[in-house]
Amino acid sequence: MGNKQTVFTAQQLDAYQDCTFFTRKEILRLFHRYRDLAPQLVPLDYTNQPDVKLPYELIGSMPELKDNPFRQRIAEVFSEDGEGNMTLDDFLDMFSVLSEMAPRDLKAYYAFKIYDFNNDDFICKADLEKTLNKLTRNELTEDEVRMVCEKVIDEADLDNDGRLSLEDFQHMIVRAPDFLSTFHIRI
Amino acid sequence: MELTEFGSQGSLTAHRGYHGYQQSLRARTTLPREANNNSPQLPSENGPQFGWGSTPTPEEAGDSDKNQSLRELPLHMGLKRAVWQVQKMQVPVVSRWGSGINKYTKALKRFRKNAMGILVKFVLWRKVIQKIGGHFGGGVQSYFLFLRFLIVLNFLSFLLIAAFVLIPNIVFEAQGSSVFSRTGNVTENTNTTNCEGYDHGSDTLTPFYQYFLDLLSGTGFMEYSYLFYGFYQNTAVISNGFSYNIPLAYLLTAAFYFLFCLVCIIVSMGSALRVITAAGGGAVGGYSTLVFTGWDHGLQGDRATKLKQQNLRHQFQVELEEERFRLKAASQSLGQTVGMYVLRIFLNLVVFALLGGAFYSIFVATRFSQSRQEEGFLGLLLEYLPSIVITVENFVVPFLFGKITILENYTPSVTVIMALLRAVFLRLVSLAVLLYTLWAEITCGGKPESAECLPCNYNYNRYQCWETRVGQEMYKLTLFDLLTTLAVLILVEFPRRLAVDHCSCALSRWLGRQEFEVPSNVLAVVYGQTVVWTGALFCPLLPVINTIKFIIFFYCKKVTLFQNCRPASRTFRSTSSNFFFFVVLLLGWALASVTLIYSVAVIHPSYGCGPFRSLLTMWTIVPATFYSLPNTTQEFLFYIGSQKFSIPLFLSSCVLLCFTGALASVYGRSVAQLKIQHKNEGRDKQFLVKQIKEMSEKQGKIQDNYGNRGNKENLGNRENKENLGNPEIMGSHGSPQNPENHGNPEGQKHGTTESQENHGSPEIKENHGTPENHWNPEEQNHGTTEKGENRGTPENQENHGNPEIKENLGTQENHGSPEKNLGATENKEVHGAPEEENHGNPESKENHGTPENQENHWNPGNEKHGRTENKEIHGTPEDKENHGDPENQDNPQNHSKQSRTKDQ
Repeated sequence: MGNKQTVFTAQQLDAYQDCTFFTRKEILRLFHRYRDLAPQLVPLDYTNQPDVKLPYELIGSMPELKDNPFRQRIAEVFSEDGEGNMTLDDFLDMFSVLSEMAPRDLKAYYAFKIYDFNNDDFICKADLEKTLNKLTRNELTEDEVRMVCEKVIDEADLDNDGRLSLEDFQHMIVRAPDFLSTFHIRI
Repeated sequence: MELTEFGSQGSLTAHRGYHGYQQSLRARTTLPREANNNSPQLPSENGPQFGWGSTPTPEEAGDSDKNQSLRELPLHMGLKRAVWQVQKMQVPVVSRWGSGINKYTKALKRFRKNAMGILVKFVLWRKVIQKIGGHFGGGVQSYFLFLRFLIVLNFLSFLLIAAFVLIPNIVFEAQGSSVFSRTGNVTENTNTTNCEGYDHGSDTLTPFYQYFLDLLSGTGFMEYSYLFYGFYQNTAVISNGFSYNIPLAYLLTAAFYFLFCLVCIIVSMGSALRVITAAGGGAVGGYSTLVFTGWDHGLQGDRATKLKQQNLRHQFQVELEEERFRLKAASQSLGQTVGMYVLRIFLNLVVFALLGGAFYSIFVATRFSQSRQEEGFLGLLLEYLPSIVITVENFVVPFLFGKITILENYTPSVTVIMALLRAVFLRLVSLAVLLYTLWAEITCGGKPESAECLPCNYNYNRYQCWETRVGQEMYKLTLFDLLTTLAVLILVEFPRRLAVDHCSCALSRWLGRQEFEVPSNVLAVVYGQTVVWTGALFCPLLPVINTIKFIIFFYCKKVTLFQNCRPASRTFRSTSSNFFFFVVLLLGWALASVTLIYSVAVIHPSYGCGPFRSLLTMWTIVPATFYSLPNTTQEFLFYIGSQKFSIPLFLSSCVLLCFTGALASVYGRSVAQLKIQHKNEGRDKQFLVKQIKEMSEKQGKIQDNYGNRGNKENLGNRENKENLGNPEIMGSHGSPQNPENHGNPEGQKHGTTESQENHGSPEIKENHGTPENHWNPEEQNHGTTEKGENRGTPENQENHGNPEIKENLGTQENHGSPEKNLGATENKEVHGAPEEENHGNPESKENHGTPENQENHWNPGNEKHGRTENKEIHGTPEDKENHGDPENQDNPQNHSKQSRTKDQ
């Protein structure tokens, strides 16, 4: 059955296999998930690499992402245009990084990107406040948010510049026991 | 086709600003043009710009490693595929032999991968556990993983017992007694013949319900079966060279069973511990981990996410409360503190009283149930009395403990731990009390010379086969545990959910859906396992019963979890708790093994039943068999057991232990030291940056005073000029942007800091021998005062403001990345701390290693020259004058270090 698929060329599949943490079967499954989002837009033949992009609204409506408060950030970070519109490549990329097999460092890098809302390569207080509000559905008081932000920066900011760089973030995340299991989307 | 693809991808993604991103891109586009001969290495070199920590990208990486690293690169799929194409194109030239090997290893790898893929499907309940993790988070998932571990452990134990005890016994039974020979007929007493009767009373006609009662209590037809110790034969088979000694097999299997379980626990514990150690023992406080790893991206469904958000809010509030609590505790008056301690002591006394009462009631109940013989349901109730008492206590007392610990005014996290520890204590000690009571009954309180025990060394009148009796107790405990779980599920949990869902009265709202509490559930499982271990010697089939029981548990808990439970408002950390589970399990194991050793080595086995009848103790079989071994084997074993062997072994293992301990402590200390250093360096850097800022401001004023004459002269900054003009450099590079770019800001940076130092005190300036040297940086500094900041912090943007630099730079982005890298390395050198520092971003150093970068870095020979000059200046007498202020003193060191590393 596996040989009958005509969505990708063998080479494409090989490339995807080597570039993601997925097996051939999973790649095809993911392709179909992708296609199911908009069957009229996505062709069944990817051998000539059509330039198809699904808008964020469709990506964000997947059951895996629908309820995730960070879904927009995730889509933005993994999409090539930075606005959440995803090609199949982006789509595979996203779930590869979020898969069980992806190493901690890779996950940490993307997690940092996700939490860095203003894309300035640092997680500053404003980013943290946004993160917190997303985490708690704006139910913490302002005072509490401020305190938690201070605490976080106090804990994780190693070079005392008042914001978290990628290195600070990694340093912290390496010690966070549950990171691997939580930064993980099962698809 | 591939090349055009790179181009378009590159322009699209250029803005993403990942360090070294540009380099890798450019490298790829220029790669085929340059037609490198050593191309096999290139892709793996330009790929791993992404670089931190544990992603090793060795140059000599094999094919699979490349693929591996490709997967792990934080690049776009398009780029990754491009790299992949390049890798594919550059098939390394290898001999036929080599390619054969390659093919072989590839095939092997593929096979292994496929095999792994298939094996994964066979992992028990993988999907179910994943789903649970998705809905209820890691803590609950860890409970189910633990349960699965125990199920597998029990099943393997059953296989062990079946293979060595059960099946041989069945086979020999079937063969008849022709080849049997009784072992160890060393009846030591003359008057023991009246102890040998064993009436298991299964011959009488019994009413039908009796079967049911027997099934529950392990009596009647159950008693004399393979289930219990009493049924096993004390026979050995010796026929044409094959000999099998059932008593010995029985004992050794039990011993192996215990060892096997211990090894399994230790191995699992080790892996749990490794995760904890890797996590640094929770050295980083809770807030940051909560913020950044608190969200479980695997959650699906509106309800689950809402609950998770509530959980997180709750957790934040708890943490903040704890903080406030600590502050309050610190500001408490003496009287309040004393009052609190008095309260705690009092409550602890209450706890002890509760525990004591619980244990005493178990003791009384056990004695009562052992002393009375009743028929029918009353008898069943009596039989089950200890189990009932223990179970009820395990429901009620932990609940009370929970209430008491809240009164004790601990911080929330300590409250949970205290309640849990007390519950563990209750569970295990209540089992120990039960065992003690049984022991006291069997051996007449440890006095075999008392009247009741005199003829047989144990209380024969009441316990014709005491091992079976203990086995029955454990069997009943196991069964009762299962029954209560089922009963609670059906009679409490379902009605509760129905009430909550379909009734809107205040009570049901107050109750709410139940939470799945991981700690108490784990404790229940551990308790069940301990019972099984304790009873395994006396009831060899207990492991298989337990396997079935745990499988039922698994499904019941799953059903109740999905049907009746809501996610807990207090999450349970899965990683550290895993370790805790195993520690508790190990405690249970220890309790069980003490029982085992005692009953094997001390208590006289029953005369009338079991494989050890007619032996003094169960252990006697081992020496007896030992002496029947061939002489050489005996000697060898004697030697191993002798002092000649054991003392050196003991000593050497002691030495090894000390060594490992010392090593661990040294590592720990150095880690602590490095952490402190890290902190200090960060502070140093901050301080320096501030200082530089001040200096540059001050210097700006001085500069104005000096007049702008010098500036103009030096505008043609020598270094810059040379760099720029250097045709070789330009030529050697495919792309013109890079070289100046990298060299330049660096030089400037250097210049800047030095000049600032010098400028701090005007006299030093006079001391400078070479005017250019002095002026040159000064000019730059003047031109851009912000550059001082650049040195310390990785903010590059300011540099862009400087028009000169801009000219030199090809593109702005380019400017950004290399400088950053440099900044990073500099800092590192300054820190001078090994490893730990690198942790953050070790491979940023390696960024220099990519061919272009390297050249960039190296090319301006003049720069190097310039720098060494500077160094000399610094190293020489002027230094002494600088001694006045500390940061000046600091800086030259740093500088010399920097330049040294750069010269490398």
